[in-house]
Amino acid sequence: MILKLFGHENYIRILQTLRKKNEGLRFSQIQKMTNLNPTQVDRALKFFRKEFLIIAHTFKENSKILFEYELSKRGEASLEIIDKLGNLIQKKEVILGKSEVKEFQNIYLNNNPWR
Amino acid sequence: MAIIFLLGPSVWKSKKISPIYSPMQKRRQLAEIFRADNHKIVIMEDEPDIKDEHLYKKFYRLINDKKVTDIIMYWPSLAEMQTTQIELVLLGIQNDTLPTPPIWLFHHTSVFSDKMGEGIISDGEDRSSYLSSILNKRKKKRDVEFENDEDLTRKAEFLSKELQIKPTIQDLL
Repeated sequence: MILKLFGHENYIRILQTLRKKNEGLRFSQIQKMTNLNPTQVDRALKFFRKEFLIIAHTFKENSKILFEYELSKRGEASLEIIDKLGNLIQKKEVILGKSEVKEFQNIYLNNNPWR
Repeated sequence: MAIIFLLGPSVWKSKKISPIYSPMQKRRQLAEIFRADNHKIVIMEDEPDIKDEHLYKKFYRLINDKKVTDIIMYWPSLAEMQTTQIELVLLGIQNDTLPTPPIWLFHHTSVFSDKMGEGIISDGEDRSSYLSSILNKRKKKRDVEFENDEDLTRKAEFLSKELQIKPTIQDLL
């Protein structure tokens, strides 16, 4: 599951957004905050739900049943692993090169934990 | 450690469906997953009745006396759901007056699904207005979907771990 996260930059970006906000986010909010299209967000959320990386909360608004998503403990733990890898990549910048560090930092949008 | 009230149907709608196990047996299998992580499980049918006690009173008594911390509602496809529906209504009523433990709706993807952030009920019966009215409460329900037996077991294991992690002091403040 964690290896699959590494293969999908957008997935990590969405998980980061959920962690940063620290409260339930709706589908449209995630889409807006990550600047991803609905299909990308839907695909990511399906994966997260399958892997229990998020917890979906359901409620009714007007006549619709809607969902809000927040990180599960499993999701938080997965992000911690990615953070640690990011730290390690930064420490090895001399060997790996600046572009490698930059590539990883870009995943974090404006939420770079190392800045 | 959580104290989980494990609700759900007991029988399939038709005897032709899944002769391997009944929904009641499945709930007992799920109970074992949670017990393995030291959670306590309460199953309504396994708890002794008190003479002349109405079933709905037993339902509330178990939530209060057992100090239930979480409720799991198992909702497979093609099961006889009438009693479970009543239990959901009872939870809805309790939610209006007293704090209700978090409810985890454990459902098959064919009965209720997440379509781009919107919940769609599709169990072949008209339960939309019924479920909607239950959801129209202050407290949100936690939604866990499963595709098959294997997936159900995995999700139960994940949830069991999720509930195992003790809250920090900050969580409690």
